[in-house]
Amino acid sequence: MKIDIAVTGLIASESPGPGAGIIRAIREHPGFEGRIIGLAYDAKESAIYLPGLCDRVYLIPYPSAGHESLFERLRQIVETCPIDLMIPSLDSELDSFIRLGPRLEKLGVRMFLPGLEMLEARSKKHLAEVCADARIGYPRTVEVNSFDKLQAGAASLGFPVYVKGIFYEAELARTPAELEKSAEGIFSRWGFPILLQEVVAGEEFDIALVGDGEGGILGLTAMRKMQLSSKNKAWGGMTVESAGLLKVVRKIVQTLAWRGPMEAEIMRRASDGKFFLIELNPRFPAWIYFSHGAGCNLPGLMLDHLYGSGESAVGGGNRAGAARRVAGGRRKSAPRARPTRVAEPGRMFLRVATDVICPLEEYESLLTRGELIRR
Amino acid sequence: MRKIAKRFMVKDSGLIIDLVTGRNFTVNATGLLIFRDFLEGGEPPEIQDHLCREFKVSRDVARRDLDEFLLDLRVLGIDED
Repeated sequence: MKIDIAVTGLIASESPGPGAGIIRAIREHPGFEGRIIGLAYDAKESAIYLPGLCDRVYLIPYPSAGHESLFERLRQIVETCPIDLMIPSLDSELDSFIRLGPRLEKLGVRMFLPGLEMLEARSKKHLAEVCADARIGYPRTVEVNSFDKLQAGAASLGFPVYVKGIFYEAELARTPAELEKSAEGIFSRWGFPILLQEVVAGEEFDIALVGDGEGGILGLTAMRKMQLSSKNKAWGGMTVESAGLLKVVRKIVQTLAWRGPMEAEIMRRASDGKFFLIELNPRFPAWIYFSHGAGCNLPGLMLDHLYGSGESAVGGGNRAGAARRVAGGRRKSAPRARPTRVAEPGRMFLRVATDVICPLEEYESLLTRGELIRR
Repeated sequence: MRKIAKRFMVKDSGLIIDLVTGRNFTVNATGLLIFRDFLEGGEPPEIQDHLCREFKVSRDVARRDLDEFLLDLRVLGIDED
């Protein structure tokens, strides 16, 4: 498939974006022949300089500049460098990209994303409703909109509690003093509301998948984090048997009729084996390249779904039976069977932090012209 | 064969991976023999006999090693179907 694909999320620091992993997975897809266009907010997003990753890189305005300014910049880029498929990969930018979807489509740019309603439904503020609809456990959660409600909120749950920002970050607070410190830090980065959540003791699993928009799942990779960075990001993991987890996430995907990439964080409570949904992220995770290594290349599956390449192109993996649909919830489309590809269990990855040499002329080109053209 | 047998990837090196939880651990040759026999449905007296034959140890030594290992499995929550 000869298509040019633009990808965001090129930060590759301690809290990396998914961009580098998405691009590496696409490049592993045997049917892919096009160009990769990196879209970066800053010339120091280090994946820009990883050899063999991006053919071109363009700077785009931060989401805070508003979606009109983003559209104008994308229009300029597309005039000189046509983009067939756009894969935005950061939570904070998705709202803008989704709103711009119809206008981008007129420019020939396609996306495979949830609608705004789906995006809002999976936000941390509404996860309890999603879980109720899907009949999955959700930890007791208190939304706090001012500091004077903080301690009372935590007291209603009992320590320890997780302190979460509305978009990113979660810190464990064991005492009122730790709660105060965590809340101040998260507020300074993400503002209110802050969410306080009870701790569910058990095994945590991370699941990456692609929903087909009709309640089905194109593919799924489930893993357990083996080591974490200081920001609790996966720095290593192992794929696990996904039959039980697939049942859980299938209910969620059906309830939301999810379209596009998703990362779900699920907890299996040690005391009784009950599954709890901790978080839903509307994008691929930073470890998405691992899906290729585990025989279920999810970005590749998404390309196959959109551009109709052969299913065998994305490597081994397993088929987990036909997807079933449930009545009710937010599902709008008619039932239709679709098998789900799942990753092989027992595959492992570790993340490497290393230095990348950045040619000064490339950095200079991005700073002065806002673009870097390699081919 | 016990029901939980499919849950584990057991390598000749002694690396054992729990494919359901993603946890992994290593065992020595004695542990490997016990674990494989256990997964295949062996009962303690049979595993004890196997240990004596394989490692040329007394029944007391074999029983002690077996009991310790089965206790470890219980602690890890993988002692039953």
